Amino acid sequence: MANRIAELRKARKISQAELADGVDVTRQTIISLENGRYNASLLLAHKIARYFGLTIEEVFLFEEEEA
Amino acid sequence: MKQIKGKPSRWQWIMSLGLIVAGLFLALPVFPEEIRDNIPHLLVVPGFVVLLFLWRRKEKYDDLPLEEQRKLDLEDQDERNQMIYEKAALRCWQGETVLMIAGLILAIPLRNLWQLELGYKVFYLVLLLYWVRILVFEGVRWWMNRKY
Repeated sequence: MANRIAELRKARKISQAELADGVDVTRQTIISLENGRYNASLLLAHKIARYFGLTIEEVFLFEEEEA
Repeated sequence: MKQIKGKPSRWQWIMSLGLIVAGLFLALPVFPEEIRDNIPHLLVVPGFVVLLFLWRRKEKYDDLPLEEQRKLDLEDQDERNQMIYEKAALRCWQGETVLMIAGLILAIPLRNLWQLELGYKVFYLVLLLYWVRILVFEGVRWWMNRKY
């Protein structure tokens, strides 16, 4: 699932480590999320969206082909 | 045994003690001499080694600053790490199943070629325990299916 995590993070000048600390995951998980190699759970997606002050749909892009 | 980077888990303590208890149990006179002479030390010694290793890890963990402890705990709780661990365990278990089936298929016709009858009996015991493990796995899966 595509996402805008890297874009949002850089726009706010937040490092991967800071974001990882903010949502209680490891930096490696943030890297994997940004590279699209890992899909966040609903709970983690909610935490990340809340961290950025956005909705889940504004952070994570559900593509119809995935269904 | 789940690899834990932080404080040893309760299950790790239980498993290491379980190895020791199992080894002492198999040393009881009710079991055949072949088993009593060959298996208990294979369980008790590693059990003690693991116990010492866990104790050392606990000591190191307790000596760390709170921030470092938190980082290690986070690595254990991280959902991606948990997912990787579970997938790896499943793949290994599937591989073990294939190896066990292959071993059983090979053991039956090659039995007469084995120099030690004991080797065959121990292998059979391991195989039996493995099938018990599969049954336990299916039981746990059934229970979790009901729970979730």
